[in-house]
Amino acid sequence: MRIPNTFFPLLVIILVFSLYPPYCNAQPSPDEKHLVFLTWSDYIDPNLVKEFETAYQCRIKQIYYETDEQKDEFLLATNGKGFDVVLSSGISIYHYLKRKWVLPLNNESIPNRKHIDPRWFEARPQISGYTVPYLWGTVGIAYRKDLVKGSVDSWRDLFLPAEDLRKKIIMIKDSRALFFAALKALGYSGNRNDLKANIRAYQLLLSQQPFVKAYSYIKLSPECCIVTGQCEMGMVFNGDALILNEYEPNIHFTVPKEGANLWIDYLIVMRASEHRELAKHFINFLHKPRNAARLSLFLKYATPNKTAEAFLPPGHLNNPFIYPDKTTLKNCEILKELPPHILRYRNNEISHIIHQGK
Amino acid sequence: MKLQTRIIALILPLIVIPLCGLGWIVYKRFETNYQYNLIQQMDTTMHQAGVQILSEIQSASADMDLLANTALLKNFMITKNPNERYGLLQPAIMKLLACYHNTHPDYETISIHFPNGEMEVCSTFPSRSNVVKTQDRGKFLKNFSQSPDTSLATFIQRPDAYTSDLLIVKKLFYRDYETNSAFEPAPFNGFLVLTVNLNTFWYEIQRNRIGKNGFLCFVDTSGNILSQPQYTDVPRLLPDDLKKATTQTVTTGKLSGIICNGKRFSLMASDGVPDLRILSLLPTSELLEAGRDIALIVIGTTLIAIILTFTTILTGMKLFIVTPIQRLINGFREVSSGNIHYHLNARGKNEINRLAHEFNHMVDTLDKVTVSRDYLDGILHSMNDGLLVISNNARIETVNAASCSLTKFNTLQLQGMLIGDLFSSSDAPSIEDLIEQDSISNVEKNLVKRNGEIIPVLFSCSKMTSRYDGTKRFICAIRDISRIKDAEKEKAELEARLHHSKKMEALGTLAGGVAHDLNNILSGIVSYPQLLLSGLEKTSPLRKPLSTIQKSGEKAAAIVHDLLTLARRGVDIRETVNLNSVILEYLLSPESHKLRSFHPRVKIEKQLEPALYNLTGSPVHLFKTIMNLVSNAAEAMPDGGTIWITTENTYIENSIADNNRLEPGPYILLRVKDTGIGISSEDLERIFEPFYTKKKMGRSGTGLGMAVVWGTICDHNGYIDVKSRQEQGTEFFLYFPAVFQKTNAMPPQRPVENLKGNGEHILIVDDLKEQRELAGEILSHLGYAPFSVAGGDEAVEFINQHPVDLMIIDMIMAPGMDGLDTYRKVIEIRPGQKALIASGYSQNDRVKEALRLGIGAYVQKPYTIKTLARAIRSELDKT
Repeated sequence: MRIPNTFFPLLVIILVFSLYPPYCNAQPSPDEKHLVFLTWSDYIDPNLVKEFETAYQCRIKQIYYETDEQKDEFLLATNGKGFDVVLSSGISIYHYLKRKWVLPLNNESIPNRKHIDPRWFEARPQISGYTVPYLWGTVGIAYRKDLVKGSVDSWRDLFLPAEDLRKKIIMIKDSRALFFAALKALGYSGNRNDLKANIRAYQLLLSQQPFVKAYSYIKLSPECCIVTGQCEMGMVFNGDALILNEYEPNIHFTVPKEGANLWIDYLIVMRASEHRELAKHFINFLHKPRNAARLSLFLKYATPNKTAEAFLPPGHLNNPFIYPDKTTLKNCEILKELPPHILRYRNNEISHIIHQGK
Repeated sequence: MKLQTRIIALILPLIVIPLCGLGWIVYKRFETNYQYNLIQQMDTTMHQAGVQILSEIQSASADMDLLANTALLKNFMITKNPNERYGLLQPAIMKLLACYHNTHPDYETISIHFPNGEMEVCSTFPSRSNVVKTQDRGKFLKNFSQSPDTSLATFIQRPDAYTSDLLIVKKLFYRDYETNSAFEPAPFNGFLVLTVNLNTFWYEIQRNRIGKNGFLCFVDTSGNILSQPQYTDVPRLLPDDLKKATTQTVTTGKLSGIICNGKRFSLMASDGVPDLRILSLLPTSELLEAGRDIALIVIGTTLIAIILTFTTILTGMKLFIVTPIQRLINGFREVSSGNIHYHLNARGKNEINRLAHEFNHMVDTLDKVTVSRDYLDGILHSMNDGLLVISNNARIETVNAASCSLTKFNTLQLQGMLIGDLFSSSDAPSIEDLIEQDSISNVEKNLVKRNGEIIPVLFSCSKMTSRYDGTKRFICAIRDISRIKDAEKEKAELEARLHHSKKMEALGTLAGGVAHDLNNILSGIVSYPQLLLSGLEKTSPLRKPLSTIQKSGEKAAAIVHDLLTLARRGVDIRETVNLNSVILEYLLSPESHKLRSFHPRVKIEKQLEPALYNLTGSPVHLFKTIMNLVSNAAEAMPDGGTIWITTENTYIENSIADNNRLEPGPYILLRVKDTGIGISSEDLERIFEPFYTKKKMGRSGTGLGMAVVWGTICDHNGYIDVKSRQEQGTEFFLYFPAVFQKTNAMPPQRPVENLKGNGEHILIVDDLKEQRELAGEILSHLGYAPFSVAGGDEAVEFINQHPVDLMIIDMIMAPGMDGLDTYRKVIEIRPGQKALIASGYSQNDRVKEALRLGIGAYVQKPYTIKTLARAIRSELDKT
């Protein structure tokens, strides 16, 4: 039987279209709203996003940044325009407020804001009228119990490492976090604002630099260097450490005895947003107690949503790496704003360290 | 002066002078070109550097403009709030500058400065060593802020003074529309500064080097050094010297000279770049000495050319002239030293080869007309006899190889030796003898070898007189005749032995002939007394005389037996015997008792090897041998003494067996030693001869004892040796070949009473009537039924008619068939007929043949009742 010459190309086209119906359907309709969400990568439960999109007939376009500086660059490049919801650390929000990029928020506009434990607002009172806390956590040390000799319980174990850890340490690429930890290792407060203490912290960071394989955020995947064993120790967010632990049970996490940086991520709505209401709905949706609990379980970070704790299993709530005990929390500090000359110093010095390491 | 040297002296100026002239012309041309090239290099390199720097300044200025127009930089510069400026914007600006810097790695830094000149942000972290520079730059920028210019490209010297930076400065003016009116001029916000180290270009510029040590140097308009090479093989300029020199004397684009740092430089300058003067420097010495290398090369090349030409000429001369002449010289030397067969290679047609050809021709002619020494030596040394040439003062002049091997002296030792010294003093030839006699031919003399050995030689000598001067010399020949002498001696010994053998053989023939008859006669004398005695009562007075007759007969039979032994006709060796048993048997025998009773003062001691080897032989003869030796020993000790009989196992090597026929191998040694009177050496040679005795004949011996011993030893393939010293004693050594077989077990002998017959029929065949009767008597006495016939034919006839149980056949019967033939006939009629064979003669080949055919035993005459009875009974009892 003779097959017509056009048969096979047609067959291929039909097959392609039949295999990708979602693609065909994914073409946005002209009425569909787009909510632009500037956030860290892998920092939201995709199911929640889908549910919200379904519920509100919109699309959430996530734009990922890898460092705080990158997020600032994105915003500076557009002068705060083009983004609806931004997830940011508290310290950056001070600058955004001065640039008048942020829309005020209250319990009326976001009803579920009432479930938030008030202490998280009290932590940064200047910005409490513009923000909704998203998650909170600590920065500590993750290490391979099977590879690292001896116990790890101090920042000094990370900054003054044993000789066999040369090029086997990974550090966060963030000047604030690095200086904070180095100051803690020296026994100072992480927010010390005198030049002398900061110079000492810089020297400590410089001495650690030959042991550091990379200054970057770690990948939450089996290819992560701590999982593969290329790195044996690293400065890691607590939730990230718990996810890595699922890939490699030998990865342990510790909040150093000197104390750590207690971070809180906030959600803000940009003043230049064209979908302000949808943005508020999105924040409100995320803080439905059940959703907040799902988020906390998915990302393995503590939620500031007090009511959501009722939906969390005791194993999650009692996990000291997610919810540190009071003694640990007592030594932890949140980042505070620093004088400009210290900031200028830190920016210049940290660029030197990272540049030298390349 | 050598020929070679003369030729060289002639040629050398002809080569050297033209080549040197040529070298000088080449040198001058190269020098001029080289200097011109160097100056061209200085100019070109300098201009290339200028163009490169200008292009760099333009490119960098364009980059600055691009950077100044970015919104981020503008945003940063107009933000006054320090928290925002450093908390938010500075990291982003730093990243921007860093990105810019990364795309232009030849830029050293890109930095942003406050209006007062202080640095605010830098693309890279400034190194500590540059802090001073940063401060200087701050001052410089502060000054520039007063200037109406908005941008500037200049050069600033670094603190190390070896290099400087190219500084491209751009003033930044941004208007903040929230605070500044659009009609007002934009305020001055700060500086954007790009720094490029001049060394960045340096590496590019250095690719075009000037001469060997030439280099570029950058100076500012005041003459300060901005950049100069840092590598060590270039002389470092001192700033002050250069400043002084350049400001005073240097004109752009022209070659001038300066002294800097104590060294003279040639210099060119270019003002192509604003604020920058590029100097091209070359040590003047290099320019002046530009030709030096060329000169060296030219001189070197010229020298090599001279050497090569010279070497070629030398090699040619050596190859074609010197070496052939040297060969000719060698040829002449060879011929003059006597080698007249020496030839030269004369291939080719040049003069020297023709000379060689003539040389060869000369040698050939010489070879034909003379006899070479080689030829003579060949003759001399191929001779088997020693040949000596003796001078007229009796000294040896020339010897051949045979002389050396004969005398064991070497040639040098022999030359100059007196001829007489070679011979034993008694018969040394004197020179007078030689001169007196014209020739001496084959005179036997004793030559003394170097090791003292004396050998017999035949000495011949003849005179030789020189044709030229009449000098006399003697040609002597020496022939070794020691082997001939030995052969003669051996021949004499062999003859003596033959004589002895013949004597013994004659004796044997005599004894054999007599023995047969005597034994037949003795049969009656031995056997009848036995028969009579067996019938007599023990108290009968006839018993003693009869016994005496019998014993006399037996003695006579023993003597006959000795004679047979001596003639080697009677020994039948076929038993394996242990000599110890024979000795013990003798010591217990009546003969031994009798001997001891005769010699009561003689003591016999024995020392027998318990594990003595066996031998194959005749016990009877061995017994007799021992008896004779012991008996002789006892008689040699009239005053008493001790006889030692010793046996031992021994092994004979070649060396012991040289004088006899003993094969090397295991032997049994029997020694019989006495302490008697000994034997004189004269007697010792004759003791084994028959009938030789020192004793009184008829008293104790027959003179056959030792001869029997000798015969027995010979029959047993053994060897006997005697050592004797007079008045001290004699010792006999008897060697018997050992065998490794067991001795034959002797069957127990039954008493005669048990050997009686039972009326069996026995036929006696004997040609002698007495013998037939005697045998019949004995057989009847023994209880058999005897019949007798007188010959072989009768016996066959009888047997044919009357079968008998046994036949006793005499071996030798005349006339008619002998015993063997008779038996052959009989077994044709009655196969398996039992029979015995009897003879007075000893056992011989025909007896052996008869035994092989089936005859039971051989009975020696004279018969004794016992032997006959035992043989008959044994045969009849066979199944």
